[in-house]
Amino acid sequence: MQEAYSISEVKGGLAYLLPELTLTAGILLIIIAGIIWHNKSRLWEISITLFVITVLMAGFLTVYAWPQNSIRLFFGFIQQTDFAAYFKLLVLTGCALTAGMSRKKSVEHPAEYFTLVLSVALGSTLFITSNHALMFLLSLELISLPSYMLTALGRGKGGAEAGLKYFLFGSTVTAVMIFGWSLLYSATGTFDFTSSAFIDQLTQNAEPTAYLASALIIAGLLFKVSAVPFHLWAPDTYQAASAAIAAFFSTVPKLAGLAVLAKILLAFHLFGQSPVPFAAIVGVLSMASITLGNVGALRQKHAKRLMAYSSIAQAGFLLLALVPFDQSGLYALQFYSAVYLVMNFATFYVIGQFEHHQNVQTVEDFSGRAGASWALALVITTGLIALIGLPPTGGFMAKLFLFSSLWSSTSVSPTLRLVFLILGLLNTVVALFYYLKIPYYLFVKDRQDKPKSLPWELQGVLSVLLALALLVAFVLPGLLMGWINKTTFVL
Amino acid sequence: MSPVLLYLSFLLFALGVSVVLTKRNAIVVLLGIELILSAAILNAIHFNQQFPDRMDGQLFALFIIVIAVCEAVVGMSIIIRVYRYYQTAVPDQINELNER
Repeated sequence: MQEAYSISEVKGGLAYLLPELTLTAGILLIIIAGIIWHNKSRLWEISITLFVITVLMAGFLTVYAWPQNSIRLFFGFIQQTDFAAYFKLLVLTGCALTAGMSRKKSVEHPAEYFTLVLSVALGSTLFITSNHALMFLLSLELISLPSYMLTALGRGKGGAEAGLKYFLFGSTVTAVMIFGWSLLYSATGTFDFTSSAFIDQLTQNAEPTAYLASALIIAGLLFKVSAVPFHLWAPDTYQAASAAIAAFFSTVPKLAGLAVLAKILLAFHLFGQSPVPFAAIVGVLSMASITLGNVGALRQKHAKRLMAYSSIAQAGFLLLALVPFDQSGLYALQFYSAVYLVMNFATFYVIGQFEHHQNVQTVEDFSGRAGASWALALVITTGLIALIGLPPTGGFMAKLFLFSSLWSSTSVSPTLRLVFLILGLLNTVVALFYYLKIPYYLFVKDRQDKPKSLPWELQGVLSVLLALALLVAFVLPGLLMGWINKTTFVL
Repeated sequence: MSPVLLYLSFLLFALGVSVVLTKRNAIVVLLGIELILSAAILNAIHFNQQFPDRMDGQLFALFIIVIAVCEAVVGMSIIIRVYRYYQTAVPDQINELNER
């Protein structure tokens, strides 16, 4: 270790950790509230209030303490950068939107529910800033364990089944990943994966064990972002969870995983000196994700299951932003992540409302229900068009930035680049078929009885706002992109 | 550094992976996961001997033990919940969620 261990270092570091400390305080307060109040509806009100206050305060503190340059804290365990702060803000936005979507009726234990969601949020914010294998693993577990519990707490039999399968799959992958870190320790002699010692050691004596170890660690991260070949848990989990939790799983842990994957891949890539063609490997994995996600989605009947396959395909697109290995690729990743968060939540908000009020489960159940609420039908159509990547939505701009950064990159050979580009565009056409299924049933298919209209509530207002944000992202992408261009990625 | 410990850790890892892949009961799979984790712990401690002035490998091992305990607790509680619904802890026999 370079730095001497001292208590002043720890005390000084705490000042830069205000959002995380706020989240921790919020978790404790909600647990205490769960002990004090037993009336469910009272407890619900108290815990959701505490949750929203905590998340908003953490978000405010993240913006307030926006790091101007990269700061290493706690002997290099944590590194605050503006790239990390951007993703932290996305994660917290996702949590706030999840709270807006949660419903009293579908949550059995409010205090536990909000504690677990907040724990995932804390894990994600720490994960994004982690710089050391130990921090990495502990925060990863802080994301994973509450996720298993949230799944298992989901509705009845299905929730228990999905929870068990998610748990077994997830903890096996995590265990293998921990083994990978221990091997990497043997090759480099350090757990600090962004230190120069780590990168020097890997450059000088590249052993087969080091490659094996990097493969095991990347596999664990691919599981977190639900990319092929570690995507099998997603459909069952999303189907069994409530719409709010499905939307949460498809955004918050995924975006955290991607931010870390960007960092880890750059470290393993050794700034382009690694003999392993990481860019090509990530590209192939991303293509496999997009294709398998799309093909899987084509034959889905259940709406949330369809969205699970869609999130696998979207993970592929997000991975594609990591292929260029340069700043423009990361800008595209940041833009795509923000738009992905908004479009996914817009879609899930509407699915959640139809599911809650009219028990709509399958895609066919949507038939002729546009009359129930024209505004919501238009919102889900906007969200799905954005997920395809068509104008006039932010999804189009996100894909445009993504493909143009890929096209101007030099990390992969021109032929491979062309193949990625063509496959990506072809997949967009395939995506048309299943994404437009829901609007097709909503608007075109008829039903005998007139559908009951949906009541206007907070969820409806929020979903309309999200759809408007998607349209604004198309007309004025510079608003977001200008902000993103101010961030820099430092290892 | 003796290679014996390295072989032992790889043996543990291989055993753990084969248990996870072949056994059908969720509790036994959990045991396999613990085997993989102990392989990682053994590795971390063993490789730490190369750097006698540092303790990070041993610290890592301690934290892995904590992670393993947490995982076992969460896992067992999920298995109990599943058992209440299905009267079995074999994931293959549970098929409520599927493509239909």
